[in-house]
Amino acid sequence: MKRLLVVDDDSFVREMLRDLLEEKGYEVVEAEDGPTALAAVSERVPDLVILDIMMPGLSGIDVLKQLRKKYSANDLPVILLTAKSDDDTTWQGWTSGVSVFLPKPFDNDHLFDWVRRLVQEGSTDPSASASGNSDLGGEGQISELGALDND
Amino acid sequence: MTETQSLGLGGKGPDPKPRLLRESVVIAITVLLGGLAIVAVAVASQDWEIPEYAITDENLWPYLLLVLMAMAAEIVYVPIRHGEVTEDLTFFEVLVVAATLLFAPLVALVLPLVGFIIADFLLGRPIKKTLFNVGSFALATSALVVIYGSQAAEFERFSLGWLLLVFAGVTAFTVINLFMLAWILSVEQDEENRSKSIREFVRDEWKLSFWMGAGSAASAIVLVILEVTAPVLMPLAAIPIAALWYVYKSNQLRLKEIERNKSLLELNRTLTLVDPRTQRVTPLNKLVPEAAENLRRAFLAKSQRGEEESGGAVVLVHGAVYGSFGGKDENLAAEEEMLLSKWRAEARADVTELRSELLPKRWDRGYVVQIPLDSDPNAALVIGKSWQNKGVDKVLPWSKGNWEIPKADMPILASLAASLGGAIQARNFFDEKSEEAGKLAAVVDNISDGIVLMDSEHRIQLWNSAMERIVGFAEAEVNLLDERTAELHNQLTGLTQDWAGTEPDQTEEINSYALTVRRADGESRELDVVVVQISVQRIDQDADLAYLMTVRDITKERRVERMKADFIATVSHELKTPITPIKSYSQRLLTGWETLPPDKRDRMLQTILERSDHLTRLVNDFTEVQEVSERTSATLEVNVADTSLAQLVHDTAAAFPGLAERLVVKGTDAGVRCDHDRTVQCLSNLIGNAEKYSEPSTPIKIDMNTAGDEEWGIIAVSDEGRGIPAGELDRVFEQFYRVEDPMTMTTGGSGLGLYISRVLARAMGGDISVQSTLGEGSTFVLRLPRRLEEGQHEKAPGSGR
Repeated sequence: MKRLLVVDDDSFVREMLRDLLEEKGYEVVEAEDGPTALAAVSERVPDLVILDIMMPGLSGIDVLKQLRKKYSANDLPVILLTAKSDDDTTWQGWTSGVSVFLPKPFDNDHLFDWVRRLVQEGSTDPSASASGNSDLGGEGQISELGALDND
Repeated sequence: MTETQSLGLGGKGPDPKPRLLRESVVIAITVLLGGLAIVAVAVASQDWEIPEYAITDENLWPYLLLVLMAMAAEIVYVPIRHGEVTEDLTFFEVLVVAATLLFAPLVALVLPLVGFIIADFLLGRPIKKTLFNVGSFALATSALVVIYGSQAAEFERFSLGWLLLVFAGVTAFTVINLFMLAWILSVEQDEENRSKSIREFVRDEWKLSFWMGAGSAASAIVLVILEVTAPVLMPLAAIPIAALWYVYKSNQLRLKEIERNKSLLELNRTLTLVDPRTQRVTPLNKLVPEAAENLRRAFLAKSQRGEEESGGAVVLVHGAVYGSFGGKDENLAAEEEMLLSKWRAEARADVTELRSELLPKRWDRGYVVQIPLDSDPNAALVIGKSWQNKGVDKVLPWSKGNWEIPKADMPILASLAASLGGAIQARNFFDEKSEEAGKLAAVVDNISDGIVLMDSEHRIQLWNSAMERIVGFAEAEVNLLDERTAELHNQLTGLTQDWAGTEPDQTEEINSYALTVRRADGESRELDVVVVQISVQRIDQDADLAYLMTVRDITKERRVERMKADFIATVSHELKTPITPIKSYSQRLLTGWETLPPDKRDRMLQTILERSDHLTRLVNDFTEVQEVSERTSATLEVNVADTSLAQLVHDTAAAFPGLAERLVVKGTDAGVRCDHDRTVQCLSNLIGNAEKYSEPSTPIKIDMNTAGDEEWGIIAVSDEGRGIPAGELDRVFEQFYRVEDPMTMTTGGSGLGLYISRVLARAMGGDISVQSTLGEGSTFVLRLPRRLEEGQHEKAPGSGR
């Protein structure tokens, strides 16, 4: 069973993600902040991390940077959940090696689609992300950069 | 023979009293000495041997003739001016010498004085002048009579010894008379810068007096010789007298010329825009009277003996002088009216239009401008226009009813008029410009925007006080270009680069720039600078290019803009977070309702409901900010009623059931007066903040007290959280301000709670303040007005802080 780590300070969001993803047959582990998430990863590396950006203490970007020190995008794909989609945040996300951005609130199908692809392929597929969703097309192209940076 | 004749202008000196006193003393001494001299002569002459040729007639007519001739000699005179004082040259001395040679000593002394007194009485001269002159003459004549009368019998008439005796007597007379004259003139003539000492008078006058003495003696001797040898030839005695008269006249002209030159020099000084002595601009209301006074001095009309001199200057100013070169008559009239009203107001002049019969020939119109001069109430300027319809200006001396102008004076008067006209015009122009410059300076100095004028070589030419306030540097400091201001100067200079190489007036471009500068105190300011290229007239140079910069400090606006942008980002984030589960659960429920167990469905729906409520609260919070932002504390509506601190704390705590274990309430209760619901809102905010910014294990203390103060009830909410940096304490109550970086937003607040709370507290007559130590915790203090007891003054909501 594929193991997903859900990191979000909002318990409602965590619970919701657990409800949806467990139904799809994934094992879901929760973390309410960055340090807890990093501890969980070092204990056992999950197949995918779903990471909120705005969190107490360490932000999602900070957590991502920490993760990328040890794990490449191929080893550990990360979906960043964001309610804030300004240019600066996006740029930081891509240069830090994010696999995919998923803006809040999202469509359940998009979530499932990305989780499935990232978990099955174990790496970011530029062609898949480009064709996957028109909203994410542009970001998908930048994701190539992020992936290359971290290779 | 000379005697004094004051113009009687009186009161010109700063303090006329000592002068009058001194004058009276001099006169009294003179009269006393004169009287003593007469008595001495009367006593001494009894022992003298009277020469046989002396007239000792039994008949009265020789004595009568002597008196009549004395009167005639006094009445014919040539006035000589010494500034304010006139000296009259007469033939009295000739007569006195002749009388001494012909009559017994006492007769020769007394009878001419009798004639003198009668003449003065007939001429209506002031008594004090007559007194002085009589005393002075009595003294001088006594010397002459004593020298001649006591020794005359010793010498043969017309012998050399006799002649020497006569000249010795006349010299004594002249010396005494000159000294007395110098004395009285030096006392009378003490006007500023014009006073002469006795010595100076003697130095200036001794030659004239000597020749007058010699002339008088010679004339008298000739008269006596003719009387003795050939009475039929006596009319020939008129020849030396005429020569004497000519000397008098030429001397009068010489002195008049000196006086005139002095006055004209003074006038020239008056006409210059800046007085070379004081380095100040002479205002129009001083220029006009001073010019009039100088003209009056220079061209004083002939006065009748005993009358006070009155007169002034007539100035014919053609309209052209005032700028309407050959323009329409209406323009001239308006010009003229403006000038006249200006003079009425500024020079306190009494302006009357001249009656046509008083107008000089070919004048259309003329005005008498009576300027109240201290020295002479009758001095006046007369302004007219249209001299033979030509643009010729004339200045005419004027005295009461006398329009005669000496032809010889016309050229100099015409040029003076032009100068005076020019000076008046310059003064008017200067006044206008000064007023204009004054207004502009006031605007530039009081406007809220900074104004900078930079010349083509990038020197600061103007730097107003608003600019000084904005950047903290004065103009001089910026032009110093030291290390403190060089950067600022460079930044401003940089803004002018866009115009490099353009010619003046080629571009009408107005450019706006954003500039971040460092103030004198190190603070960073954001400026909006509008730069315009202009052309500025420089003294003695061609027009120069310059850059006019209007500088507005937009630091505050920028900060608010940024806070608003942050706020919008925050609002967006705050709303999207609760929407996320709502959306996802709804989708899930719609796509497979049946596949979900009922308890899970319920939980999902429950979450949807809860998150919706949260959204509603957020939206209310934002709406409230909108409301308090638009109103001030004074106009915000609050329903003030009596309540107590404990009640408020209890009701607030009830809204935080999860915090029941952390809240530590203590202190003493007190009655306060406030809006219950609004106050609970404030307290909820403070407690909510304490919860957000501190660890769940730490207590949140609520302390109620009155701090020994009759006026305030206080609720302090303290946490043991992270605290607030000292530099940001002032800002926590600002709109949209949040302690943490929005990027790492942990508390989910809107950054509005404290802002709203403080506005509400102030609207109720209270306030909220904060103390904090970083890492140890924060204490927010809510202060509320105490409940009013009977008879206490009602405190109006919103009036207290």
